[in-house]
Amino acid sequence: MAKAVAGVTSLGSGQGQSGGGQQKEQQEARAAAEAEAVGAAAGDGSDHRGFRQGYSTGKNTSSTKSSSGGQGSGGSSGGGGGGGSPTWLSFTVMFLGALQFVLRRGMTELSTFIFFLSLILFILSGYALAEKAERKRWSILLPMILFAVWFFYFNASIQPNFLIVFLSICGVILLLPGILSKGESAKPELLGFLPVLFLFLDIGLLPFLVEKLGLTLTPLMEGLILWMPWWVFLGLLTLSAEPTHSSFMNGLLGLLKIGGVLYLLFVLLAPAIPDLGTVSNVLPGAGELEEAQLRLRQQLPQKESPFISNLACLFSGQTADMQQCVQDRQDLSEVEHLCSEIRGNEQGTQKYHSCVEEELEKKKNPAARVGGTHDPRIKLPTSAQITIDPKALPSQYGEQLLFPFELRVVNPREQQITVEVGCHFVQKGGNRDIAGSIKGQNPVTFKETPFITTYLCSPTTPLPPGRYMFMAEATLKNLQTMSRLQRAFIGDKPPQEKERLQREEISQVISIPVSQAPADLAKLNFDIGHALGEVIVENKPYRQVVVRSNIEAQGQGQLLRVQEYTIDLAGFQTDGDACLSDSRTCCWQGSLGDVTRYQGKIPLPSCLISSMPPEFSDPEDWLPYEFVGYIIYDFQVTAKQEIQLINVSEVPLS
Amino acid sequence: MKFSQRILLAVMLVLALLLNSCNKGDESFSQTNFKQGLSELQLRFLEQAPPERIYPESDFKLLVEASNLAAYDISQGKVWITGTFDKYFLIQPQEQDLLQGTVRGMLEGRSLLNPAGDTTLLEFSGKSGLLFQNAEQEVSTFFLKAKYHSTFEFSDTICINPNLYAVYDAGCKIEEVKSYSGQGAPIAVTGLQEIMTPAPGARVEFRLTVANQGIGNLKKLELRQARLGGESLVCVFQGTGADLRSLDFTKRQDLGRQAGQQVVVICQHELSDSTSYSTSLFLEFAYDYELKQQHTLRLVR
Repeated sequence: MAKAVAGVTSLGSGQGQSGGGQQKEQQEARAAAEAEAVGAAAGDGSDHRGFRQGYSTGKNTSSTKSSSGGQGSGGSSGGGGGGGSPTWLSFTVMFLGALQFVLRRGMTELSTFIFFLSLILFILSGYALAEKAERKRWSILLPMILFAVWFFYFNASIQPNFLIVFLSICGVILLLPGILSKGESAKPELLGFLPVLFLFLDIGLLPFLVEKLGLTLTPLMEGLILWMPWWVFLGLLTLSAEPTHSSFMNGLLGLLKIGGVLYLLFVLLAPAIPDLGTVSNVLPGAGELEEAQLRLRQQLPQKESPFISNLACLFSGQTADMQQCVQDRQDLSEVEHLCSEIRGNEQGTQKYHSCVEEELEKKKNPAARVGGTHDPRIKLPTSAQITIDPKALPSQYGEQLLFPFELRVVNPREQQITVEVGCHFVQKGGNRDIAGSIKGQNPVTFKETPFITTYLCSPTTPLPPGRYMFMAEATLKNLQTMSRLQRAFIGDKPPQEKERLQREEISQVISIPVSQAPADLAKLNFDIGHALGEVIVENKPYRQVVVRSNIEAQGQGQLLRVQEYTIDLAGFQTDGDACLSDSRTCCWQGSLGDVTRYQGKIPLPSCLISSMPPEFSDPEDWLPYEFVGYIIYDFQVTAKQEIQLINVSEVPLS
Repeated sequence: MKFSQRILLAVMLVLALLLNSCNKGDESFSQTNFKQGLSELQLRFLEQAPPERIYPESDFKLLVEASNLAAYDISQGKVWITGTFDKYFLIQPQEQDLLQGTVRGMLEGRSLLNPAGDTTLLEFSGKSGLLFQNAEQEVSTFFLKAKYHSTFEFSDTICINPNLYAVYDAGCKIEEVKSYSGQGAPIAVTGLQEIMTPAPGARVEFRLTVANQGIGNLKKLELRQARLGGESLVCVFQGTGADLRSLDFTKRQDLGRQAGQQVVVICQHELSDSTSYSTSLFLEFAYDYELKQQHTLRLVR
């Protein structure tokens, strides 16, 4: 009787259902109809009822399409199709999930009811997913029960000792039915983890991450977790492949399912990504990525490939201190490139060897090893760029030639900048360097952003026909860039307490151990502490606190002058005044040798901290502090464009 | 619907009912014994204090509500905020007395006369600075911490039966091992082991496991008194140094969370009577406890 009813139901739904397994359902329906006919002939009242039910379902196909479709899908999956849960159940889960989501947002005083609703949805979704399983559906309860025991009874404990025992027991409980049923219960058990996952996401993930794992959740993560209607999404997932008759709706639902899965993966994986969500617009555009990579490649000194260095050290037998060997090879290759390619010294000459020795000696300076990073919170740095449009340049020889170029300066902090531009022409194949003069006001001082101006360059002497390299340069003066460095002062505490503070608190507050500065044209890198990158500063007589710094050019161009560099150490005493502030000027103009002398980083004097203020030397807990330094400097950006001037009279007439 | 499906649905509904009954929910005030289970001091920030977004050079408040949900009074305590950079978020004062504003100089725990326990409101004033250069925002993690001193008591009726081998003694039966779910505080006696040395020279030894079940850290534990019936009991902390009735847990951090936050108390008593009887075992502890919560402040343009 039950089979006949199911078959007739399938028959009724087959008329109105548009979904996968329709052919199979029709076959089953035909078989069931035959069985029903036999039953009816035998005078079984229940079969008659079943027949009438099926007949009425068939008659009212148009008005009962969805319900019969739902029943059909339930019947088909009951018959072993496994296409999806009953549509009514999926929509029920979605409706209750939406209700729960709305109530949670708007009526927090109903927290108990909302929690109860979550549990109901937990059970309903398990039942809905059970329809997907062909056999051994009871097994779907196992993961759900185990999760409930862990979460509610054991308070989601993550203590390792407990987890070892508990997970072992869970493993046995989950494996046993699978072994006894020869694998038939595997699918339902796996399906049982889905309601578990969603219940965890709904009520447990946020507090678990914050309280149990001690993670700092960014507002982005909190929003992703709190603003997702998880149960609605699960209801969506339990829908069959084609729950409606509209292919558009089915396609849309399918897309929503895919989007939801991606969202789910992102929420689960994103907490592992540090600083995610700390700034807006985290993901740069493709163009920005390309530009950044190009800048980085140009800024990085040319060194031997680390892979080659590692191989060389390995085969040379210097495995005792591989790291130092690799570092030495890297330094040497950088210096060799500098002395040969940049300074033009021929390899093997005395000048070349002197240069290498001098540069290697500079690298031993600890100040040169201080690093820094770009401040992720500053998205818009100060930048300058010269653009030469080749199409706008004259190509015919003439008396009065004007060569335009555009200077664009992004000045987000509205600094008062003085810019002086210049130009000249270098003859190709010859040694002539013809100066150019700039039309209009030069230099200019401005504050606005962006500052975009077109300059016209006129050669001071007429340019004969030929090929030239047109060079345009702009010197920006009085630029200022600030850097900051965060440290934690703990006084004199036992090692266990220091380790605990570092692990539980300091690492959450200070995540970047090096100095940070915007990606301007140059920056000050500085470090204060016992060792490079060590965030914690202790007050112990045998551990010295050292201030180390250097200046690093970042932009495409040359750092010409540093008028001032300062690190604000208010209240801290050093062993020398040179460390605090030095207004000396270093002028590299006029000599190519001098310009490239400090490629990369310019080391500054180092010094010791002799004493610190009492609030830093002996805090009761620990004290975070941010040091600030800045440099005032001149920077030159350049651009070049190859030009060819032809004599008009030489152009053949067509 | 198939029969098996109906059964499955019925089982799931029953499961839902059972799960819901596991939810602690709000404890009814009609319960008269508050000295059970796990309860402790709760700290929370009031809504919008601090605000979700703070603008440069503006004032803001951090309002902390401290509720003593334990069954014992808090006699000393302080709450402080740490981890903020003064140039972005200057908070004053950084530390406050937990008991300020309380009536009797203590934060009362839950009792028949005060079923909800005392609640106090602490106000911290904050002033924001400027963003660094042209940064878009500054997100600062900080910690709300509290350290307080309180007590908890353990009492149970235990059987003393020195005649372990007496066949005709119809006295009480010793339960050698017992476990407990808590005494209404974050620190609790979780287990009791009774070891009887039979007559002659009868002696009873109790080994009580005291563990931190709360979310904070136990700093110090002191045994104030121990009584077996009307007589004083000699008790010591297992593995302690000179002061056998006090233990500094800050030195046990290397043992890990579980081992470092629990201790065994050993109590011994000579028995003069050889008959079996039931009597009360009572211990009173005092402890220093520290709570910590992590929050964020966001300075935006």
